[in-house]
Amino acid sequence: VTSLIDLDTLHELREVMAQEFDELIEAYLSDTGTRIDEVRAAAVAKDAYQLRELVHSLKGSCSNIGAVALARCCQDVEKIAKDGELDGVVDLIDEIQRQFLEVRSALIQELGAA
Amino acid sequence: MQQSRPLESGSDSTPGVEFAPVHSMRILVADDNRSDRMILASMLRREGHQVLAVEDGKQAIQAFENERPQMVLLDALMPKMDGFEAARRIKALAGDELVPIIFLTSLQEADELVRCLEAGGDDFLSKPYNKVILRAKISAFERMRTMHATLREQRNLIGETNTALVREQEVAKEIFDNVAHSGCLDAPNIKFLMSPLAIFNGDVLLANRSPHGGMYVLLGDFTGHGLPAAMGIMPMSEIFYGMTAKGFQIEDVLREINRKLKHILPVGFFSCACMVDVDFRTGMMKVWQGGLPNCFLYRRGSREVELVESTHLPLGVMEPGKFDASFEVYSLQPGDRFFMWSDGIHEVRNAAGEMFGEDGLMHVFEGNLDPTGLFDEVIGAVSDFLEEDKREDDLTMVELTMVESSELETLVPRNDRVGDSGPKDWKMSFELGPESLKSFNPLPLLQHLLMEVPGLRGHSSDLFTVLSELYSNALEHGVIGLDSSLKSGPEGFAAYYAQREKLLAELKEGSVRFHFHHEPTEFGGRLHIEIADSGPGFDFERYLASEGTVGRRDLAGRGIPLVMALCNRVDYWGHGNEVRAVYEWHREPQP
Repeated sequence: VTSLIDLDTLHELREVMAQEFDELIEAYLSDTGTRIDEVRAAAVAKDAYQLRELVHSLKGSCSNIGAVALARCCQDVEKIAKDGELDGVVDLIDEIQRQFLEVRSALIQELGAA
Repeated sequence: MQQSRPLESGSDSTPGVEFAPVHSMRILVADDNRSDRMILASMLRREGHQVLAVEDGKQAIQAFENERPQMVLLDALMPKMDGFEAARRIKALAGDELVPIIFLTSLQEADELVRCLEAGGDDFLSKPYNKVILRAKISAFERMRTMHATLREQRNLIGETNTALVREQEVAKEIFDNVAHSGCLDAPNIKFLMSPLAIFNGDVLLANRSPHGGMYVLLGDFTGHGLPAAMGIMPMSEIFYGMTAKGFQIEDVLREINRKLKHILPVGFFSCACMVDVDFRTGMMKVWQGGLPNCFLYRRGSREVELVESTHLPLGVMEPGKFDASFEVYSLQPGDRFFMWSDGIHEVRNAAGEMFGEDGLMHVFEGNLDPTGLFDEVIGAVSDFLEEDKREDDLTMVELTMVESSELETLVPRNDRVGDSGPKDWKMSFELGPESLKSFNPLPLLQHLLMEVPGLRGHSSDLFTVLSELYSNALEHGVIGLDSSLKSGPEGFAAYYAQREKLLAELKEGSVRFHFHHEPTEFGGRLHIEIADSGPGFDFERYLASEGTVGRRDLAGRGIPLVMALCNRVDYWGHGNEVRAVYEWHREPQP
C-alpha cells in the first residue's frame, strides 16, 4: 500500500525550507488546486497533449512534496494521455481530486503541528 | 558555506567530508512550478550558492544576460519559452565559456532525453529532488567548469605566446634572409624548389657568381629541422657569399665553412652538402659532394644520367686539419643539367609507406621526352607520390644548366666605393716563394687591392679573369711544368688536377713575382701587370706566329687568346716566363 505522504521527505523539506516551510505548503496547496482544475479541463476538451504536459508538471510537484500516492495517480493519467486513449480518464481525475483532498488535510495538520 | 548544517538523520559520516566544499556560484533556476522552484532554490542556498529563480524560458534568457550565472537548472516544459529553446540560446550566449545546463525533469522517454541533450543539456535532475544527488552534480560540474576555464585560459595563453613567437620568428626570418639571401638563384640557368616544413628549416641553397663570371652553387642539409637546424646556415652563408664574391676557390670556401661549422655546431650536428663551381667559358664544373644523396648529371647528348656520388664526410664533421677539400671535375656541354637534392625528396612516402627514393627519380628521367621539363616532372612525380599531408622533411632541389656564358646576365659589380678617393698612382711588387705557392691563393688578395682603385670595381670581372689566367699559367705551366694538353676531355681535367696537386705538394723551389703599376688617365686608368715565374718559359714567338695552327693548339688551355682580347697589350719576355699586360680602363658614366 502506497502511503499518502512520505514522512521522511516531508521532514527533510521542513529542514531544508526552515521558516519558509509554511509558505511552501501553502504555495503547493493553492497551485495544485488550480492545476487539477486545468487538468480536468484538458481532459474534458480531449486535448491529450495539453493534458500530458499539465499532469506531468503536477506529478513533479506532488513527488517533491512527498505525496507519493497522488504522484502515482498523476503518472497513470500521464501514460493514458501519452497513448491518446482518453476514455475513462475523467474517473482517474476524480481519483486525483479525492487523493488531493486527503493530502491537503494531512498537510494542514502538519502545519498545525509545527 | 559558513552556515552550519545539522546532522542528517541516519548519517554516520561527518558532514562535509563526502564532497569537497564547493565554491559559491550564481545558479539560475527556471521552473514554472512554484513549489518545485522554492524547494530547489532553498536546497541550493543551503549549499551556499546564490540563486536566481525565474518562471519561464524568456525570463531565464533575460536573467542569464543580466546576471551571467555560472550554472543553469532548467525545467523542460515551461510556458512562453520551453527549456529546450532556452538551453540553446543560453549555450549560444555563453560562447566558449562552459555554462553547465541541468534539465529538471522526470521525463522517462529516451527521445525526450535526447532532445534535452541536443539542446545543449549536460545532465538531468529528476523529481523528487534529492539533496545528496543535487550536491554531487553541482560539485562535479563546478570542477568541470573550473577545469574548462583553466584550459581555456591556458589555450588563450598558448595562443598568444604562439602568435608572439611566430611574429618574432618572422622578424628573425627577415634578418636571416638578409644573410642567407638567395644570391643569384634567379639566374636563367637555375631552377630550384625550397619547400620547408617551418619558417626556419635546415635546408639551404646558396648561389653566387664569381668575379670572373663563373657560378657557385651550394646545397646544404643540416641535421634536424626548424630553428636549431637553421642556426648553422647563417655562418655558412656569410662565408659562402663573402669568399665567392672575392673569387676564392671552391676548396678554400669549403675548408672555411667546415672549420666554422666544426667549431660552432654541437657534436653530432653537421651539414650534408654539395658545392659546385661552374666555369661557363671552359665548360668545366668542379664538384665537392659530402653526404647528399647522389646528384644527377644529365647529359643532353646521350640523354643519360651520370650519378655524382658523395665522396666526403659532411661539412662540420672533420677537424680542420683533416678536412678533404678535393673535388671532382666534370666537363659539361651546353644543355647538360646538374641536379642536387636533399634526402627529403627521396624519403617522401606514399600511402603504402614506400619511399620515393632514387628509383623514383630515375624513373622520371627515363620517361622524360623534353629535358627542359625535367625539373617540373620531378616535382610532379613527388607530389603525386606523396600521401596527403604526410610530409616529414623539408624538400629542396636545384637544377643547374650549363649554358654559354653569353646567355647569362653580365655581372653588375657593386659600386660600394663612393667618390674619387683611393690609390690611383702606385706600384707594387709581390713575390711568392715555394711554401706560399703550395697552399696560398694570392688572387683574392690582389683583387681586393685592385678594387681599392676608384672606378676599377666596374672592371672586376675582366681583371679577375686576366689575373687568374696569367697566374695559373705562371704557376702550373711555369713553376711546376704541367702540360696543358692534359686538359683535353673530362678524364683529362681530373688527371690534370691530380697531377697539379701532386706536383705542388712536392714543390721545393720556385717563385712567382707580380709587379703592378697603376697610373690615372683622363678617362680612367692604365694598369700594367707583370708576372714572372721561375719556370723554363715557352716558345712564345712560335705561339704568336702560329695563328691557329699546330703550335697554338699545343698551348690550348693557357687562355692566352682570352687575355689578349681583354687587354690592350700582352707581351712575353725572357724565355716566355715573363708576361707583361697592359689593361686600360675607362670610368663608367655615373648613374
